[in-house]
Amino acid sequence: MSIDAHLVKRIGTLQLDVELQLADGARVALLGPNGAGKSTVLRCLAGLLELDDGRITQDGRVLDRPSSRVFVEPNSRAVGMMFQDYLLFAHLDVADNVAFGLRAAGGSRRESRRTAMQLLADVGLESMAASSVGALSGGQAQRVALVRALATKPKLLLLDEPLAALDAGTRVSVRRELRQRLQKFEGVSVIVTHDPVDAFALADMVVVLDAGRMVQQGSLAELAVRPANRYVAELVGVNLIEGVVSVGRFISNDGVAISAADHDQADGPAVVTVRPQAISLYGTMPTGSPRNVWRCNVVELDIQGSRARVRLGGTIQLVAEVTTEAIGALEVHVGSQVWATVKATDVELGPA
Amino acid sequence: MIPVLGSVAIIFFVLPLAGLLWKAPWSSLWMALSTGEAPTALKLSIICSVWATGLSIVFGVPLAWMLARIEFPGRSIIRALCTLSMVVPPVVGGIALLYALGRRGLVGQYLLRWFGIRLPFTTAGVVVAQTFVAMPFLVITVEGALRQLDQRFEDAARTLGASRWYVLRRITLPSVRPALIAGAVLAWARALGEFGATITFAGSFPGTTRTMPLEVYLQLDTDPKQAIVMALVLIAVSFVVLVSLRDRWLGTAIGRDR
Repeated sequence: MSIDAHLVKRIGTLQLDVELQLADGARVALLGPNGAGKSTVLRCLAGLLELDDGRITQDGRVLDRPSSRVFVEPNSRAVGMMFQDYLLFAHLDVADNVAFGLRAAGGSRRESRRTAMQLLADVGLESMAASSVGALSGGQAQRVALVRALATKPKLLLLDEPLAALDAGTRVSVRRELRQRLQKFEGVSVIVTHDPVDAFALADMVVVLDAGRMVQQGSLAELAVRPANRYVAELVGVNLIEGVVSVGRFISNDGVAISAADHDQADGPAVVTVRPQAISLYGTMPTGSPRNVWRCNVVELDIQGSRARVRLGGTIQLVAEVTTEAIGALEVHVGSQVWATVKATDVELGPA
Repeated sequence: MIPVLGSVAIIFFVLPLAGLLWKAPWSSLWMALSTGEAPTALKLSIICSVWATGLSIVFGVPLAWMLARIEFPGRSIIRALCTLSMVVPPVVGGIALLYALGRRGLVGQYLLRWFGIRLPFTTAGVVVAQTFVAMPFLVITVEGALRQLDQRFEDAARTLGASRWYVLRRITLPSVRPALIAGAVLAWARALGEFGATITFAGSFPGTTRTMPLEVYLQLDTDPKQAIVMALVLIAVSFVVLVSLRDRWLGTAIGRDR
């Protein structure tokens, strides 16, 4: 096991107590509500927080074990971290940001900068090397932050809400690019997110945290099929549709074609995820031309406050989440016919 | 109403300057500056104030860092003690220095007996007196900036393999550089103008402790024209520095703290 950790930490009202065993190449998403302890897990692994109890070992090396008074400072750990708002250093240009870790490790200014230029060229940002970080777009800043974290060749990569700071438009392309980078990364990556679709796209295992405890772990598909409790069910409550990609088009196992925005999924078995909130319901065939329109019937209706979860059957099995006003306006009840639509950009296509 | 009151304030500040300019002996300006005690006093003032600024940076930045970053009991009392000399009359500060570092002072007697170091009535004493009143300006300015700084940038640097010292050098200090510059300039200006503590602790010996402000005060009786010229020099130097510092630096650094 590359990472073997038992994290015990108390901060304010949070009592974190989580065990993690992660093998090389593992990509783990930490999923959970705000205050569940996700970021605390990352900070403990990075060495920015000292454990109260438990241990962290990386490839057999003890990084933190309060019982034997071992604590390795963050700069002596083979760990890279990318922060939610990237935290690029404003007083350094883009290349010096990327070169920072190399220089901290004792590299010469010229050598470090040259390496940084190569790394920037790999992500198509060499033209921005001498720019100030303020000149970067959101997506570019995200790439620079990732390249900076990877420049020191860490064995453990920690990503705190890597997509949260991006607008919906760039999110899809940045997410796909990040997935490719992570797939090439040989170490362990731990990704904190509160979005199950991001978790599905970026990780192959999901750990659900709530109030400092691990509620469940497994693949997203496992969690969706057998959620440990109602909380997980709602959190992971994304629509997972299995099928195949052939000639670039996704066809579900039930024979329904689903359009995803431009994707890089090779032909073969694949899975589509759709967030319940991304599904719109109409009483009549919608005008305009959304690419995904299906005629469905309402199987189940679950109203909670201002939101309603609608289980749909018929052409396709889906769970939609809409406002109760929409339910009222549509006069939806169990058994009624509706049209469900999803924008292609809200369809996440990934390997099975 | 506001513009009227504001204008009164402007006039209040500009008028004394106009008075000096009006009385200045323009024809013999260079003569007044280049003869007598003026060049000596000016040189001494510049040397001492630069030393005082240097010492304020060397000791003041670590103090600012401690006050901003380390939680310890009595921190607010320590902060008050360390900035007391900003509000205490300088003469009082000078007397206090005398009883601490003077020949028969609390520590001064041992400095003299053990190391043969005598501070009062020496040029070193001028530097001590100036540092005493000037350093707090730097400390509060830098401390304010350190408190404002998002410490997660330092966390990010740590995860990139930077030691604490490296983070301080390459992230923390560069991030507070505007405040550091502003604080150093304020401290320097305060040291340059220092009068009360200097004359009390270091006396007024030409060439060793008689700085520009002291010289100006003394010449006011004997040779008012020269006093005016030297006063103008002090004003000109300070004015050039204040203007050349971009508004932003002083504005943000000080504004943050208050």
